[in-house]
Amino acid sequence: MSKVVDALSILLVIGASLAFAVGVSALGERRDLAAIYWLAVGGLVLRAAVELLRPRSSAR
Amino acid sequence: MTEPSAAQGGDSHRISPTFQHNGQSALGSLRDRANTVLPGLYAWVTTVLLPSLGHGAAASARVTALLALVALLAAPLWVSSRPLLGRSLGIFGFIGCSLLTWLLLGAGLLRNPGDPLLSALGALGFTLYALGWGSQRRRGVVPEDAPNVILGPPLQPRARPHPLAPLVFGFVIASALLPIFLAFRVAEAERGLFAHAVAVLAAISTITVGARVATSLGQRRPLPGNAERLNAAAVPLALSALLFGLGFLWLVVR
Repeated sequence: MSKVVDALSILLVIGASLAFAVGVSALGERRDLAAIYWLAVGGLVLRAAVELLRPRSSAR
Repeated sequence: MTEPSAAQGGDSHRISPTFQHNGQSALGSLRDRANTVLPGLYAWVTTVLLPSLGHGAAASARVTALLALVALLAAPLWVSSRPLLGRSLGIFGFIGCSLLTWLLLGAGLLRNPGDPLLSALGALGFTLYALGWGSQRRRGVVPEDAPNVILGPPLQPRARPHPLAPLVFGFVIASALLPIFLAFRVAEAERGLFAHAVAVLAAISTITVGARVATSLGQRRPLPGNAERLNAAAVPLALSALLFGLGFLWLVVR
């Protein structure tokens, strides 16, 4: 199970990077709403990857 | 230990012993710093020289472009005997004169019909130039021979990296570079500047998190339970799923 969670965190980082790339590409095509959408998706997915690695509750 | 450089003109900047001057020629200094000079030269040619040679470029821009080249080539000559001066010339002089050139070119820089790929490679040259200014040891020099070394048994690493860690980290770096290269495809100037800023921020965030992911693969320190990890990530994952759902709905409705 631990390996699955690790693999999920790797996939989330890669997915976030792809979402950022799509966002930047949309920015160049003057599709501002799509750009904001994909950049927000990338940020959230990256945040999820961080939480998978270091849950906040463990620091308490 | 008294640094030879500290006694000369108040240059108190500490520098690795491997950089101490050994009376070598100017050509030898340039050869030793080839890891900074060559990428710097490439970046200068592609991003500073070519735009400043264009028609209508201000003469002052050409002067600052030349000064940037002088700073780039002079820095290695001083970096051993006067490290502070050498670094100031190489980092602040070269980068500052390049920036000044771009500012003086103004709209002429935007009219430059250069290939976006060339600009991207120039940016890569600047990146390698920045990395080249890190400390390096000269060939044949053993760091443990330095007088400042603390003797004793070598410290053992607390954990060995997972065999897949370099592969994961390399893949993360490659994917983080994707938005940076895509930003060069943005033709409009203001939008392109914003795209570059967003891409750099995205790349830094991705590499930061990716490095943490890659190193955590080999950690002996037990991570919290899987359920706890998944619960902690539930909120951002749910928000991501919500955004994906909204995006799908948007595609359907549109």
